[in-house]
Amino acid sequence: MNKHEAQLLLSACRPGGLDSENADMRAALDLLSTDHELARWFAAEQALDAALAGKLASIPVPASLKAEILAGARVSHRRNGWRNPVAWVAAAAVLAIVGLVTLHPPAKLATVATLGEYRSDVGAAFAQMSAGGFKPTLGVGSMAEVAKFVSSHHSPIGNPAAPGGLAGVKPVACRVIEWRGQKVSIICVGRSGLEAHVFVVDRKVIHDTGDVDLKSIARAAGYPVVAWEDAGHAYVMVGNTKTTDLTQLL
Amino acid sequence: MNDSEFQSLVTLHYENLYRFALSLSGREAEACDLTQQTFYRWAQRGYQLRDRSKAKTWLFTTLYREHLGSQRRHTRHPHVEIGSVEHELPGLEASVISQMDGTTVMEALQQLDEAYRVPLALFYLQQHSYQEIAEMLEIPIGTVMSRLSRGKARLRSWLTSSENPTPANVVTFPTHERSKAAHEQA
Repeated sequence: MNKHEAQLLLSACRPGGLDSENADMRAALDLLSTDHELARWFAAEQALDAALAGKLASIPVPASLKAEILAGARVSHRRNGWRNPVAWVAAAAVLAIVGLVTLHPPAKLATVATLGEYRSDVGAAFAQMSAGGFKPTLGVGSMAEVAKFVSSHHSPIGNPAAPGGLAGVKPVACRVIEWRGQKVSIICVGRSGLEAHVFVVDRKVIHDTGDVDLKSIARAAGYPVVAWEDAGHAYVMVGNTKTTDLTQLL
Repeated sequence: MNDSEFQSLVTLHYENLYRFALSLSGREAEACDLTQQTFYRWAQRGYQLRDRSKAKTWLFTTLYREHLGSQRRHTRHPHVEIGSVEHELPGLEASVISQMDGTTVMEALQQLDEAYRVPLALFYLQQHSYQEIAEMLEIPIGTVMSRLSRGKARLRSWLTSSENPTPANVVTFPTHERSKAAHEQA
């Protein structure tokens, strides 16, 4: 083993003697007793690696994460046991819900609302998300990518080529959230330097659309919003800023 | 696997799995999702693993595969030859690292190409040997070593520059803008 090979091996040696039982590593470590330059290099390398490892180990973990993992597991275990696939449908649902942002507490499981209520909720939710630094889950370059992502989350989109009849806008990102127990797809779109976010929900949860003027710009939580529907879905577009001119995007 | 065994498994590994997920995704919410999904996969299929001593490697491998599966575009990892390993690493002492916080180190790690970042995160989390990393990533052992070596060099470069920040590397890039930029670059 030459010095180059030893250095390569030793750079993969974890601090604290974790790999000292490895035969190749032991051969490289043996060289340290005769090659002082290599030994100095290795000591500095190990000190630095230990310091970096210590820093990474200090990264805080969200306090609720363990409880969320175990809660999801307990639900399915209590019902059917780990090996029953039905149990995992329940567990998956719990985990999915935990992982999604809720606009309202999950306990409020009313599955119907008016279009006006939906529009107001979207405005309020977007204002809340913006205050915390709105973060879409996935950057995209086409509606096909949006469709693939939201479909994988079993979230609605409508016509995947042009959701809600939107044409000529460029999708840039997307995300799935939950509203009153229903999946809502958010499609972030842009055109000519303007940006807005389209919230798509299944039309069946909207029992009345008569309380808004369809495709008329209104304001919710200070943001410009506009609502419309088609046969299968209801849509609310909210401007990325309080001054976004939505007419340029419709 | 009974409830208490599962709880022990979670207790033992969820923190380092989360940190590994954070190094992959860079986002807390996504890292939480990946960690949860990994334990879901364990309960779905992991109980079939006969050798329980391999549970840790199974979990990290599964998390990595979940991450790959969720990626919009898979990064093509460059194969780095052993002969091209850099010997001269930027000077950086352990005492300097000790003055940094964990977030700074994690941010530096995320500046690396994923080909280097993944083995390096596994290495620094001290959970896996280079041989285990090779199995997990399905790459030759020599490639793992060269990626570790090069990755370390690049990480040190970044940390050295962040020790003396210039305007170019202290600008914060909003997450949304970053995702758009990443897309435009792709």
